[in-house]
Amino acid sequence: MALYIAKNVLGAFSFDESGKLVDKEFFPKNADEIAQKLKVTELTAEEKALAKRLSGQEIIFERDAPNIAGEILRSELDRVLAEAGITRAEYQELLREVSFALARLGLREFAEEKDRLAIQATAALEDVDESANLLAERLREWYSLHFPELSTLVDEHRKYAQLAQMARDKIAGSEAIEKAARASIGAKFAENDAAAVAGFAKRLQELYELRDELENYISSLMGEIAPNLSALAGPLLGAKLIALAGSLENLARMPASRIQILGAAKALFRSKRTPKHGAIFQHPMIKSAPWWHRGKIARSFAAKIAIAARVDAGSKQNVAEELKQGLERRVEALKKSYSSEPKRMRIIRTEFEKPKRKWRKRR
Amino acid sequence: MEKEEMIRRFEGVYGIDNRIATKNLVPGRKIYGENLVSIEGVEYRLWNPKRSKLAAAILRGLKEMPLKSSSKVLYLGAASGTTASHISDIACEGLIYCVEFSPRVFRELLAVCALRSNMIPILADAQQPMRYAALAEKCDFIFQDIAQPNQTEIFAQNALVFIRRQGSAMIAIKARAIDAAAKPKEIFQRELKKMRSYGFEVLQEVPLEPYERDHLLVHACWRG
Repeated sequence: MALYIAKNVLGAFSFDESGKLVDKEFFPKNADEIAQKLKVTELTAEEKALAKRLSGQEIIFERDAPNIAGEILRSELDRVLAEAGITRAEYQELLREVSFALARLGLREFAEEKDRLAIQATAALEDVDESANLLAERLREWYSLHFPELSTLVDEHRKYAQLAQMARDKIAGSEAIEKAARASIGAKFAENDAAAVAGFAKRLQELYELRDELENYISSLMGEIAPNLSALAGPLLGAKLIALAGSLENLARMPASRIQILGAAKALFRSKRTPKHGAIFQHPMIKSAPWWHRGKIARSFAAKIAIAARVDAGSKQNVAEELKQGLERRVEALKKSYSSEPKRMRIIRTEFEKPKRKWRKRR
Repeated sequence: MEKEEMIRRFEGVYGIDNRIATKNLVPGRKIYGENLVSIEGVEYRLWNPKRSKLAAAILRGLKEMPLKSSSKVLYLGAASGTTASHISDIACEGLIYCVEFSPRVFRELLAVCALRSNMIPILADAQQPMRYAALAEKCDFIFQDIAQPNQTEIFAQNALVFIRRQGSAMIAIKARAIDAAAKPKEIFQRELKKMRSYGFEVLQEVPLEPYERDHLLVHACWRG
């Protein structure tokens, strides 16, 4: 005989298959607490307590589908109220309070403009990058007093920071590194000098770890607030675009042409021709493409981003896959129809007068 | 339709001149800018068929509307509470569970629910009835006005959880929301077929022209 457990605003109740009330566990009579309990999809403490007391028997909770207990609670409410010693009026009063509390919680969640968090986190990430680079340069100079060869051998700042925490003879690295360490022309460091630079290097390493944490945070945040944009352009670029636009809503309102050059403000105002791409240039799809493809890809990419942002700002649909496929098709088509590098035109001045232009070239 | 006839058919719905109205549960307060009319000391709220699909259906020949003063109603897609407020007038001693998904619009609904003690606000997605199963109970009547391509599925899912045996339900089918390109008549036929297969018995179909385009209000009974 299985036992069924379901809940309503009063608490959790368990019934057997025949509909008999077996046990109950009331919620505290506080609307806000009850709202908190009902808001999450996990089991409430009361349901778990009930289940524990009834251990030894098969328990079926009501989660994704109605069960007998829930059906009874919903269709024989008056009987349950009688068992609980509560009048209809009292129940309805409680129900109202709980529903309003739940409504407030729900509204607050939506009102928490999560894209603000993404924008700050992105700015923080940029700050961390700047600082890390600054400190990395300093670390290199400092540690190079002891082991100058390392700086040329290790390009990555992050790895360098890790290695610079040890004396050169203790470094376990590639053959080249160990060989250079043995033959180094740098000075030997006394213990406290080594400790000083090692401490600095450690802090720098921690900064890189902080960078990782920020990236993860941004990724998960973006997955929540703008899943399509995140899947299409990557969470970091997506967050950058939102930051440049000011908010997800703003980004959603922008025409693709503007999205294409977000982040290229400087280039715009210099007397250059309108730039082909701004922040989106950083995306591997554009960065690694041949130069005569970039503008075309940037245009298509920006268009898809615009769609993704609009979907994210307004609904909960999933269009990222279709958008990505459309984009990939375009890139493939470009590879076919524009496979060879076009000749760059060079205008050669001659002794003759330059022909007068009838129209002014747009700069 | 004659006033007397209407009063007989639809409990709580009154005919004033050529319009319909409901008795104001909270006299003196308007919900959406409707007109208030006082007759012999009783205040009525004029029910605008252009704003409310249920009113449009009544004016277009709805034969039965099983709402009573003690009815428990589940309203899916309550929006800002326009139609819900009239249902609240009719089911003055009952309870109306108002489910709405959009937070912006829900804010307005919340204000309406605060005014009327028989309206319970629920901010939830009607596609997930189990999320509010702990709040609501089985209802005598479900009214659905949701513009989604899977409207009919949502209708059925909610009926499974929340309709009383032999309970009644109405859904405003918006052809364009299901398929913006196909012919409305075909869409309606398909959805009606689906409804029957889910366990509904279709009692009446009411097209809502001229108040709404390509909308069909279907009155059905739940057979389970």
